[in-house]
Amino acid sequence: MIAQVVGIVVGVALMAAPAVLGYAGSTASDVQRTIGPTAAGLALIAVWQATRSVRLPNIVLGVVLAVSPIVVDHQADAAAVAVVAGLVLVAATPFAGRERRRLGGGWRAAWPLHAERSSG
Amino acid sequence: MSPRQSPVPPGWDYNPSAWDQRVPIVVLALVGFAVAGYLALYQWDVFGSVWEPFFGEGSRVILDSSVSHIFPIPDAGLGALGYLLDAVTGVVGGRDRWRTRPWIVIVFGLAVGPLGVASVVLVILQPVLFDAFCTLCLASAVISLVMIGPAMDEVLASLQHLRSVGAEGGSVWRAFLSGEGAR
Repeated sequence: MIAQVVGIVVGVALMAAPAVLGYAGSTASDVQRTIGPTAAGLALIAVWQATRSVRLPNIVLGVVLAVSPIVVDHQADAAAVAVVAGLVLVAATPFAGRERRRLGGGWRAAWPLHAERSSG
Repeated sequence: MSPRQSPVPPGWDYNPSAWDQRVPIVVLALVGFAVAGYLALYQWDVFGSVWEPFFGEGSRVILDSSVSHIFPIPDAGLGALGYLLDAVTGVVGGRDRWRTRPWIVIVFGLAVGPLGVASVVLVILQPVLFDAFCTLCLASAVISLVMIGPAMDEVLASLQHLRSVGAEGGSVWRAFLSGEGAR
């Protein structure tokens, strides 16, 4: 559940940081306010076991966030937020917690619909 | 009760179509309907002001924006309709509907999923385009996202059932539409 909690906290922090630290309206702000709600949304959906893998794009979003100061202009505090938040997102996302419920084999057992029944 | 009649899908340890699984989603959908409906009534000028405890004029900026009026009816009205569809499709069918009415389960999933995606897009647009936030819009977005996870397990059970019907040589379409071929 580390991935989900961290994803939600980092996402909300990214939404608030531009206003709190005074760089709202900048390109850096737009990047963080796009990635923030997306990361938080994916993490929130991934709280439930059936949709746990939905969190995985947050690794990509974390990488994009961490390298964004290289690609677009950032003031110092915006760059620090981007790098720290991005690295935290990348580091935490793989740790989704134990799967406690049995879901009949999950999504791999649901697709394709016309698959041959496997033996056993 | 034989395994064929069990409301618990094969290989599962709970029934995703049980009422205790679905009622919380339906309640959330009704709360979302109330929130989105209130915002839509403001956009339709039924109310002259809108409740906003944190972001000053943020709600007015968002709800009166051009983006909110792209469609023939305001975006909050579309959201309210979406939540109503979620609630109705969440209620229809019994506790074994994952195999007796897969079509309604899939419609339920299709209604819940895109609503969450649209909510995230709107949350992104609020600060990026207008540098403003709207408290009730954010609340509505959270509600729509919270509904996705618990709804998708039922969709998963229905898809597994349809795959099982197909693997046994049955008609997937017939099982999808009428529940025939239900094991």
